[in-house]
Amino acid sequence: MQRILTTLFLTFSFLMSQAQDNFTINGYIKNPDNGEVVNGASIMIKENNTGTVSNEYGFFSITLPKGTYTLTISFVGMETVEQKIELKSNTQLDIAIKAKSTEVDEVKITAKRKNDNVKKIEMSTIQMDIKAINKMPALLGEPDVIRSIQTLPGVSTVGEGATGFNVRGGNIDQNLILLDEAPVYNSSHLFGFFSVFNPDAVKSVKLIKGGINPQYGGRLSSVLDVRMKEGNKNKFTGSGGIGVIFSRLTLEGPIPGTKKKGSFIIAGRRSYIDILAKPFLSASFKDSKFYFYDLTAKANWDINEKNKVFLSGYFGRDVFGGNLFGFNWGNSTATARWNHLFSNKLFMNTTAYYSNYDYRLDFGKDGDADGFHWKSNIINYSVKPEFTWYPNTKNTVRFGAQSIYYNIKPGSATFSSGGQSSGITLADKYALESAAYIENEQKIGSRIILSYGIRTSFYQFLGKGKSYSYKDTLVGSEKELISTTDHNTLEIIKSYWNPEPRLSFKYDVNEQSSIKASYNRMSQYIHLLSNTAASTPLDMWSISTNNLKPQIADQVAIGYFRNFFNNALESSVEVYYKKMQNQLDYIKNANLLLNETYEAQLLSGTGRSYGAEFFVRKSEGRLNGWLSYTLSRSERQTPSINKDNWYPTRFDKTHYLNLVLSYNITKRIELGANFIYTTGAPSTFPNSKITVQGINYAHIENDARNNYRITPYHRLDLSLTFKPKEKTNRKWYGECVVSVYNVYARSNAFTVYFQTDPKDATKTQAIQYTIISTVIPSVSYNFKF
Amino acid sequence: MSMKKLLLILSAAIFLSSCEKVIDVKLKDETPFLVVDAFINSDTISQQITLTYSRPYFDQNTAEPAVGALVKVVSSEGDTFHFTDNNNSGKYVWAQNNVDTLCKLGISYRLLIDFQGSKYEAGSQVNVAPTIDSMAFEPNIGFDGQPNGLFGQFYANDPANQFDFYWIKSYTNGVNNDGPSTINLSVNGGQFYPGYDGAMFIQPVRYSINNFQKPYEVGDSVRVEIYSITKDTWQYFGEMVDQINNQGLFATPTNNVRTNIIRTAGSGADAQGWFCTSALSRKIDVVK
Repeated sequence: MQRILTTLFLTFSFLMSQAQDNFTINGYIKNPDNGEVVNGASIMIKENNTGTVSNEYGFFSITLPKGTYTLTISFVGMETVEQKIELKSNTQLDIAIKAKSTEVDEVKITAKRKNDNVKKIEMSTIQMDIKAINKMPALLGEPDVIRSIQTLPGVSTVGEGATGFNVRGGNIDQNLILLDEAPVYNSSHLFGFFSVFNPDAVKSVKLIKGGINPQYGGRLSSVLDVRMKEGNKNKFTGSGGIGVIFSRLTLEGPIPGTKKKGSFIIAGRRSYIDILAKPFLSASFKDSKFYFYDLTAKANWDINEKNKVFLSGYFGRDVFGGNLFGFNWGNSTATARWNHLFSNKLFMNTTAYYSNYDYRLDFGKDGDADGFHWKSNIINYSVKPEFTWYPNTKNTVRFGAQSIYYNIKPGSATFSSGGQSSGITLADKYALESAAYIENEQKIGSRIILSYGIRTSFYQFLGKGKSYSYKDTLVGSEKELISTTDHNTLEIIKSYWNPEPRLSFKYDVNEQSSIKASYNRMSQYIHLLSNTAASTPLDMWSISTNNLKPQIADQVAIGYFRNFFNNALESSVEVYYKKMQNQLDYIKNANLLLNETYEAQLLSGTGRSYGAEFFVRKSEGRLNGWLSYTLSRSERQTPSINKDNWYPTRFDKTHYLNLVLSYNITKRIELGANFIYTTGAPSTFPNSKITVQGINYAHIENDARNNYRITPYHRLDLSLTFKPKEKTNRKWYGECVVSVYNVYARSNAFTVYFQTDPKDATKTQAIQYTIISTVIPSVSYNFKF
Repeated sequence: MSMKKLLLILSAAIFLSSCEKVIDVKLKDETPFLVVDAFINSDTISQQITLTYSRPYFDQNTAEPAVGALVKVVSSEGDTFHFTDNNNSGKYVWAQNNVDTLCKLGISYRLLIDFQGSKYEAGSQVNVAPTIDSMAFEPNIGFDGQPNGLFGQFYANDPANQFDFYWIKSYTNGVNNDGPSTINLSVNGGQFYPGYDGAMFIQPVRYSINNFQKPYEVGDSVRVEIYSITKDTWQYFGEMVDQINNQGLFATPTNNVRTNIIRTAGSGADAQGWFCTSALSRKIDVVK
């Protein structure tokens, strides 16, 4: 470790000493239409074929010798801008790039398109344009971030309607889902049909599956970095939509009195499916309520050239219930960020956030003679200062730190029976997860970019609380509690630390193609305890303890990136191998809820996943979209399960194909299509029948796990968007979207289960359970003003 | 109403378009093995242990009896109870007599089986079953989705400061109210482990004596039985409930159900099934 630090120090001293007759151009890339910054835009210097990329806050800095240069700035969906600059002193320069006005006309543009996907070092990463997400045919006409992510290579789901997504064989809790840098613990509304992200307020979506930069940590498999819009700095505007299931409204504009230096955005949604469904519900469900709402808000203010502040928040809730019971859950996050320029080469962002995920379950009303009330929370506070330093055109150094304080309230419940009450409260659990990281992205010659860094994470399981010691009993059965120890406030009960090296490499074969490779180690200290096919909103999160070790993953990936037809078509092939340690599984009939000694019911195994991902995308033109195909395997090995042999995970899909297309039939009518095909999910099927006390149950030979597969999943969705006539200075813009989900009414299996025929106890049968078995048409209307 | 059942109802309510259908699946058969069904109790009637063979999962025939076994139960007090199969039906019976008592409170028992050259063994203990104080029948008191009519509940109190596990069965005019996939279990009168203790049985447990598709009618004779079971047996039933009601969005991985029948000698196949000794508490009432 000492050696690594010394080497790093020497490298940076060397970088420091280089600046002589060089000058720096720094500034922000902005969209003049709404004043929003553009993150991820590429800034190329024509003369010497170097360049940089604007960071998450639109900032860039390039240091060059004195001279005259041509800057080419480009970004997906934006017009490419060329700007000449005579560099003879340090220059502060904000560059405006405009969104392309009409997509239909783009075919005529012959200017050379950029080959960012080939040139950038990042691999296993896909930046989704919110416009592309909005174009996809969507369930009930509502575009959705997470459902769009599921069309990308390497991303799968356990099934329709299931919460979350699985990346390269990882569990759903292994995705770091960030909304303006604050983690979101449950990304779903209505189980998994919609995500918590309101597309009207989202600016960019980036999914990182591999070669994960050291600035991110704490989850094994991916980072989904969702950034909210800042709000229009120039004028007050609004947008929204009215759909079958919910309505949305977003308002944004400059903050009065800030002279266009400040802006805000506020976006809300409320579903009303329960109201609409009421006439169709049987009498017994008449009192049912199921709805969700969310509110996303953000404000920002450019204090001066050197300082900017952002405040953002999210609050959302799902409510379900009937006349006697109810449950509800939701996330709330609040983020404050401060961008500061220490110099024209050193950019800092410091984020502080608060995140709270909570749920409660009620039987009976408060004060009733008989009832059950239960609530649980996971709260965390975090601070993370992050620095980007641009010493010269060859190197970009990122360093920073993060600390997260966890307070988990696993559950408190009150039972009442015949007026007598008793309660049980599981003690709060606390932990501190800290990390420091440093990374240098270095250009070597004109063809190679190398990025090397390390993140060191340090975790402390803290008092006040209890820790438990268990004796190993027969593997696969509940461990026996030996002793319980009490700990004082802030006492360190158990600590772990993990150095996490991160490496990426890119070599340009030529202008159209490159080879990339990466390695990353990730560690994870917080775990979702979920034993069901689809995770339930009531699943408990647990932090690492003396018994529950952190999860660790090592991943290598190699990719070939190639563009065709003058960069109109981008394509990539990647292969990856990922090994995961301390993967959770559960003993039979595990009861994790309200159980102080739930750790006694956990099993620890090893995971491995590997695969090849193929991706072809055409981002511009009359016909655009993407094709992704993944050939993969995702397996676990856990003592006592499947006779200790490897078995496929529930989300192991050998083949996973997605085709997303959008076609402008005329200037005003756009057709969207989405086709998906995946191998059937693995499932455990029985062999024999046993009858005891008149009850039939099944026996599986060799205790097999996932020994069969259910039928393949495939589905086609279509949509038509009708836009108004082109007109300048339009005050109101409205478009109508007609969409059809599951066009050919495929009855896709979610699970197959085995049961005794309820009408005939001698008969046992296999039942296929389907979530959506019909065509779902819908109409929605979206507007902007 | 378990958590899982609740989630199931919710997902059904939300996913109006979800559907279930019987499908054809080809399953691999395995070699039949011995299945032991040995639930005996403190009732004053003859007790029976049934030995059968397993059969292919979709087989509709009654299980083939396993005949020719020597079956006995030995108590921790040293008494031996012989179970005999006099008509080769696989049903091994211990005839009630006025001298011996089977399933005495606090006593543990061992089941010993000698079958086709292999020996099998299992152990159990008899725990307390609380007295059922009363029953009550009221109209329309239950959960969403029930037809109109009378629904019953029973009242009993759980003994404090100990873990008690119960299996509750009910009969309307002699017919069991539970469907082929329902096993009503309780821990300390509640539903969670450890959770609740030493008070009146909680509402969902009290209501477990109903056939929710068919409410009670005035004049019905209702018999409620509480069987004390061991923690092991409760886990056995828990795994069984998990396995046989494993549908929907929140299905868990299908696992084999545990067995406490251990092969102690011989090279025969491993057996499945369960041995449990229960104290029985019973009350009969007529719906008024």
